[in-house]
Amino acid sequence: MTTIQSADGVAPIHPAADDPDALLAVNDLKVHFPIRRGIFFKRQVGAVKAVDGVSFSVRPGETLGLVGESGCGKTTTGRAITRLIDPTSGSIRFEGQEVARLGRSQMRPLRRQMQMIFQDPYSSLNPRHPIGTIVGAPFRIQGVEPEGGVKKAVQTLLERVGLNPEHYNRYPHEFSGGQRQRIGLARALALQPKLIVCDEPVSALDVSVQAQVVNLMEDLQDEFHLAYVFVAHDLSVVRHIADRVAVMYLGHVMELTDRDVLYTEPMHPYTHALMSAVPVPDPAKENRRERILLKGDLPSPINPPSGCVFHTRCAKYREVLSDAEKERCRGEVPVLETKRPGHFVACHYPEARQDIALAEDAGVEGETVA
Amino acid sequence: MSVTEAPDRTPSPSTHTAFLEVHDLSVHFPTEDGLVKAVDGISFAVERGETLGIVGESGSGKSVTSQAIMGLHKGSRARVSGQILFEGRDLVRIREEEMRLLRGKQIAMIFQDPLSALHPYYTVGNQIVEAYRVHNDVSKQAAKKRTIEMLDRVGIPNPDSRFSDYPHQFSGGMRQRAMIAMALVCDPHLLIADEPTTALDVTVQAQILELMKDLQREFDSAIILITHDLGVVAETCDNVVVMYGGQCVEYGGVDDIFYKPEMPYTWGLLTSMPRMDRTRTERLNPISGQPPSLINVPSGCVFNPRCAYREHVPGDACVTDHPDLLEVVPQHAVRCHIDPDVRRRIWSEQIRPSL
Repeated sequence: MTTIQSADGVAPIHPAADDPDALLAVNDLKVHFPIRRGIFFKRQVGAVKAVDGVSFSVRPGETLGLVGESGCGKTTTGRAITRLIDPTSGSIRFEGQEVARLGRSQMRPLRRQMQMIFQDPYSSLNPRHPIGTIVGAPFRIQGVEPEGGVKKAVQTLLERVGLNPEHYNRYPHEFSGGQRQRIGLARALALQPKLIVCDEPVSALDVSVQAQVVNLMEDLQDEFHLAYVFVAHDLSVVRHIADRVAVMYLGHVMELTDRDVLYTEPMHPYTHALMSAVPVPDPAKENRRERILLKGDLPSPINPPSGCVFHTRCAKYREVLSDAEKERCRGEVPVLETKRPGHFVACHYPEARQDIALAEDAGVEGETVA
Repeated sequence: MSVTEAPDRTPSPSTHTAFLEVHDLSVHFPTEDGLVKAVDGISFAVERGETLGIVGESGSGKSVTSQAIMGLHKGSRARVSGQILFEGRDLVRIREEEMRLLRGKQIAMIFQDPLSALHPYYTVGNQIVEAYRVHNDVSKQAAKKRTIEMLDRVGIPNPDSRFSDYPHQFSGGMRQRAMIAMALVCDPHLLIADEPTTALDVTVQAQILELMKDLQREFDSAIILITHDLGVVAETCDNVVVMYGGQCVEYGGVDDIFYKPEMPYTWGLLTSMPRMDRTRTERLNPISGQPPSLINVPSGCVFNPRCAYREHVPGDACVTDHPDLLEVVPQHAVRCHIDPDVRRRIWSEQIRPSL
């Protein structure tokens, strides 16, 4: 693995974060939440290692999908990027500028460039404000006077996201879930940011409405040249929208590569398990395909397993590896390294499997192990 | 198994009665804004050992249907009409006390959110013991033994020590397993699972669905699985009811629904979801518009404001006439005005290639 010293000479830059064209480069990001005990002297007795050394980069106009089970740290990563949560260590570079340690007021001008959309369209909009005020808030907070006035700008935005601009004075409860998510999108777009962090933006929506919002997000991306960090647990939605995907498990990136490569030839045993668990809407294929069942639950991020964090649930560790190899999985933390050009995997014994992902129809007929 | 036409108010005295038969069930809620027709004339049947899937979007009436079978609308203002024949008894008409004897014993339910369905103040073990002792005259010791057996059966590690844990000490997947243990502790013949895996991760969902299939085989129970996820339906169900706006718009075996669907709404569901098993498409094909209001249900076909295939129906029958749920082939019924031959042609020429 090539390590390059970062400009300030402190931490080596991970190859996954080393991209000169990157809009956003996250290097060895850690977010630990302290656990304190005691009444007067709050001693720190441990930490929830929600994000534990994550590196990736996002180019302008690109969509990076962050997928994983609940508790894997994908939401925390998204929130650390927008600085809703303070990172414990690591660097977050936005357009070359280090933002990980900026203060509140120093962050404010940057918020024009990076915005966020939340999962729950019911709690992310203030019920006491009409949507005109909600969508216009970024202008007021940032002190931006758009051409033709705030009201006109807001109505243009509402129209752009497929809402009736005459609904300017309506309140959030008068809208359905899909429409509320559109309001959230309009608010995020108001200042024409370069990056939007989307935290499960379509998970709460019904399939037919979900497709409408996904299409809208893609149109807006093309129109405004937006980059998305798309946090989601639904692998099929991520496959549709993302250009590159990072698979996370217990605070670590397990695999990071182009969408097509990940969905046709995943290499990490966790990615295999995750993909084989997605039910496909085709009864015959469902009956035929192999499912890798993960045993047990996600380990606690307070006390993660030694070595590879996934070894406690890994099917390959359990069934294939020899004792000497198991020793290595338990003792040595696998680094996220380049296994093929642009394909990062954190596993001691990765294996490209084409039979897992049913990305192509041929995947079922020609069941071959690469 | 039979599907009767919606206007058929008196079910024909068929020679064979299924294990559970629902005939023309309606659940209406009077509200200040008007009458909410949450479920409007739905009919289906389930046999033992079989899984029936009910799919639809939020507000399509799938959960209300299951609550009606459980008798959870008794004592509320809801107006329930029609018939729910369970082992020959009509659950719509029996009294609450009789229902209580069936509920938990013969018919059990698994809810979507196990954290709010389990009581936070009692240990998981005691809640299951209570469910068991209500219906079985056994000692506390025997009930505890049975509970630990069930916890073990659903795959909770160390069931002895987990017995005295509280729900918040369980993870999401384990809570759902505990709920399944509670539902199955009295060996119910009918299990209603209302979005049992929606709140869970895919890996845990795969475990839970596998568990439900194993248990069904073991106890020969009938399962009604309510979900919005067509992938889950394809994996687990034998027959499928597609609901929209409180009505059944298509009914059929799982192969018919996935390989020969005829209702434009079912097509819309299939085309709008991104799929892992097909080549990636540039655009998704959403159904335009929003689900209908259940107070002002659209006249004619309930799906007509969002339907993209109305041009295939001469005149404006879609807006004026309410289509009947008609069997196209045995065990496959569709509620649509489009001519069956035209529907099949649209499916094979336009929809299927685009999936």
